[in-house]
Amino acid sequence: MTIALVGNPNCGKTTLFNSLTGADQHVGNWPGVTVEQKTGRLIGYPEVGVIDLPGLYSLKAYTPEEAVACEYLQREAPGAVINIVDATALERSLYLTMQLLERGLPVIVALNMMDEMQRRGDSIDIELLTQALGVPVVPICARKGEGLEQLIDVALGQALSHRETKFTKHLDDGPCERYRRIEDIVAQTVTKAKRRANVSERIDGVVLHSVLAYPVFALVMLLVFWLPFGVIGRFMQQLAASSMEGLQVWLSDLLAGLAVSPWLHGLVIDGVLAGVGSLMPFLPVILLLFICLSLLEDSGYMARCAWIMDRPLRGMGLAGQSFIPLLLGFGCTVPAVLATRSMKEEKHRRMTVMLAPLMSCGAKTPVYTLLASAFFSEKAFRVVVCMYAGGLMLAVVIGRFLRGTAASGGSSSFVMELPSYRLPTARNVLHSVMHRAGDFAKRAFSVILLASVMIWLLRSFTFSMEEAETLQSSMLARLAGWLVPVFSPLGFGSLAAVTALLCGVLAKENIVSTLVLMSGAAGLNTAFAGQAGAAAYLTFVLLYSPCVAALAAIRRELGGWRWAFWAAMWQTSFAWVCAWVVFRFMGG
Amino acid sequence: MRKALNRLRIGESAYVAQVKAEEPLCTRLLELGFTPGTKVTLRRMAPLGDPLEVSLRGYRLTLNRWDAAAIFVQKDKRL
Repeated sequence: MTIALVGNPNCGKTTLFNSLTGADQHVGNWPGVTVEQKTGRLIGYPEVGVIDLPGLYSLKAYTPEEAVACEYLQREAPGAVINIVDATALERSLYLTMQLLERGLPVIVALNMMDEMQRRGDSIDIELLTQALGVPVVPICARKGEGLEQLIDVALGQALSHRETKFTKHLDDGPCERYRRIEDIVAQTVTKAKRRANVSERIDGVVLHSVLAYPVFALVMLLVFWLPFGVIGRFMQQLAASSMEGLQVWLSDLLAGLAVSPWLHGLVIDGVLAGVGSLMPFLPVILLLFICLSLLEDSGYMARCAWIMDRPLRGMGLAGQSFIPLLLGFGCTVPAVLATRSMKEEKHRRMTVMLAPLMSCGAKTPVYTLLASAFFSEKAFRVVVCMYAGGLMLAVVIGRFLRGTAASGGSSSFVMELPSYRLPTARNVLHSVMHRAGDFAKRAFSVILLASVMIWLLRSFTFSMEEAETLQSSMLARLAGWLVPVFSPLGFGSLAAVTALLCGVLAKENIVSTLVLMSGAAGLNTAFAGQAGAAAYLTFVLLYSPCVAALAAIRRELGGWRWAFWAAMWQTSFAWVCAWVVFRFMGG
Repeated sequence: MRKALNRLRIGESAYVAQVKAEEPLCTRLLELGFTPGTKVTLRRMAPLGDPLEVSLRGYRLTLNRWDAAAIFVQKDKRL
């Protein structure tokens, strides 16, 4: 037996889904968070499946994500359909309800955001609404978990009884007729208080003000990046680094005390700990960045950014909706690429997917921080800013260029809602940050651990499995050595730097762990030709091929390996050219 | 006197007379509630004049300028 959750975008479906199933799907305060259907099991009723569908305004699909939901409802026969209705936008929400009822689906209306509606001083007569619709109506507040028991009872009752809905079917109705019926229903059941400007509107008065909007936007963006990379982030990074060093000393002493063989000591200390451990100091920085991003998402400000950035983004062949995927790209390219699915216009969607990797993801952050502080000591912060800004600027240039070449014509529509501002709940922020930190930890102990051990092996031994006297006689030098000359003109033709780039294609976190592993006692200075070499390397890391996970996401969203391959190739060759320019410019 | 929705002044209200757009946009606009006779208010414009925010049927929606230009409004509720 299955219960499907259906409703308009940003009406709280995923919040309800998480409460019903105990899942921890990502929730955000902008339309289009869910782009794929998610399944789970109802808590307490393991035999009942719950399906969370992407938001839709109507059963006539308009965007790719809406099509997912429509197809599901046409193909499957769910035992009950919980139609989540935003009580603060009742008329518009009931439009979908009407269509669901016309199809004869076993609908239960969950009237969500009751708290927000009551704050506005409005009221809805639930009993009259139940009569008028002919299906059960249950008032809930998904964010606070209110009314859920009753909703579950009613939904299970519906699913078990297969009760016929009392609604008379008007199958050939159009939008005008449906809205006429909705107007009648609303007139009977809703009492509206006199409208005053609510908090959201007052905030928008400042945030979307014709003069203040962009300064406020710039300030918020500055804060989002200053927190992780400024004083606070650096302090936390040093704290984590010193505790990692402590751990290393302690473990090294412990192993020496146990008198283990030198190769095991080497594997644990120089392989695993130096590799995976080298990333740990950067974890606080990445977490801070994720906290900032999820605060933006949850509060509702991100949707405003899309609004004020629509016009500027059009100049580069994108649309306002591109803003959210691009900003998410600073966290990780994979969700960024996925988030493009709520975009209507295919050419904007494709462009957004292609430009998203230029937003430096969280995994590139450690590389910037490590090299910037090693080579540019006091100017480190400025160098990191340059990398982020450089990616953005290149995206603008490439966007403009591609827009000029691509066949223009056909305008895209920017039809979306500005959600009400909501105070981000600690639970939500914690949830999404832990989710992302979990991803990081999973990669650290799988791909990165494996890569660290592999590199340690290849570097420490020759092909005859004897301990390598020098790096040049190791297996690694034989395998990756031929690539070194390719990068010599860029100022980082060293085995360490090149191996790190190769491992970076698996996961960008590998770059730092490999660099630390390979340069070892000699230090980073030997791997790069001074500041110019380091700067060229950073440029190359910023621009070259996305990691395997991101390439897979690109393939899925654009339908074909051709696109993913093209993305990897153009980015890598472009990266080479840019790194060369930077190296020459810096006097290398 | 009919005029396009984007020609309203900020804060001004009018009633929808007709939606003149190609499919599928036309249906989508009707489904979002721009049916003839619906009261629409222009709330604000983005700092660069596009997109617009309007309110209708008790909720707020944002539209691009040229989408709004496809929605014709008039002072009178009745057609």
